[in-house]
Amino acid sequence: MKAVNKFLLLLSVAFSSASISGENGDERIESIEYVYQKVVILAADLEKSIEHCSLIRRNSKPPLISTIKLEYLGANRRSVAQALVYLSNRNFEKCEGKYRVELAYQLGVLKSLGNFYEVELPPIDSIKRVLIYPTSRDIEAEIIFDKLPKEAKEYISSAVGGEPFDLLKTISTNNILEK
Amino acid sequence: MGQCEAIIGLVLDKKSTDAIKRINEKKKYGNALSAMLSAGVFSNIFTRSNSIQAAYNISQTDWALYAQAMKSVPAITKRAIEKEVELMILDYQMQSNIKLLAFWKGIYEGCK
Repeated sequence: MKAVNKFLLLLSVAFSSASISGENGDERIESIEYVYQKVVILAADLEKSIEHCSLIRRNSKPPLISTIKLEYLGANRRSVAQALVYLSNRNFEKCEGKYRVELAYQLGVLKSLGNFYEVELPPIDSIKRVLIYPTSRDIEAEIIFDKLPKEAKEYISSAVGGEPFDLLKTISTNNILEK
Repeated sequence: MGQCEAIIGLVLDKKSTDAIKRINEKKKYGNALSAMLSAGVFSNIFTRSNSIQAAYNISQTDWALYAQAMKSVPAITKRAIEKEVELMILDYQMQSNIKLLAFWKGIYEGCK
């Protein structure tokens, strides 16, 4: 939280350097600070949630997956590996709960207010792109999973369950990438 | 904290160089998010040489310093970096590139 309080201070300095005067200026500060507080709280909640989910993952046993069964169901090993990437991300984000999505939304609101009031803010779009949203590789993995034969999808989803799991240990334990 | 093996003569291919740039970007915007002004040790490993093609020698001290620097990285940033590193490990496992695989495993495991 100390690092986040420093950010609040920096933001206050940024605001005070803008030409703010009169009632409109007070409304501007109040609106942006109001949304900013939501961002601060959500970021802290997401941090705690990630730490909690990382602990669950660290303590989890790798799910057992039969590559023979998956090959029989029409899924090759590389597709299985990518499917596991997607499922690993899916389960972790499910564990994180609502905080990531709500943080993305409130960051967008903050940016929108900043634009409206012509106040300079931190690089919110880059922060969201780099830290909050799924990457192109995440989406590619989801597409590969989605294209798996139905029974293969059902089997692998059932095998990994809904909790965070260690992706690399799962791949290693089940010899997913070995021919 | 355990120790990773030193890696001698590590040559980064384009995929790894691009991944490192993306990870540095995550750290940069992680810093913006949490107002921490720390360059971290990660980038230091790769600024000793001026040439992208040069081979790197990564010592156990480098690993220890990296692990220490990562402790202070916020969870949001760490999670984003972790996902990137997992993919690199998978890619190099499939390509059987031993040195690059060892490098990315070292990054991922933090020498535990």
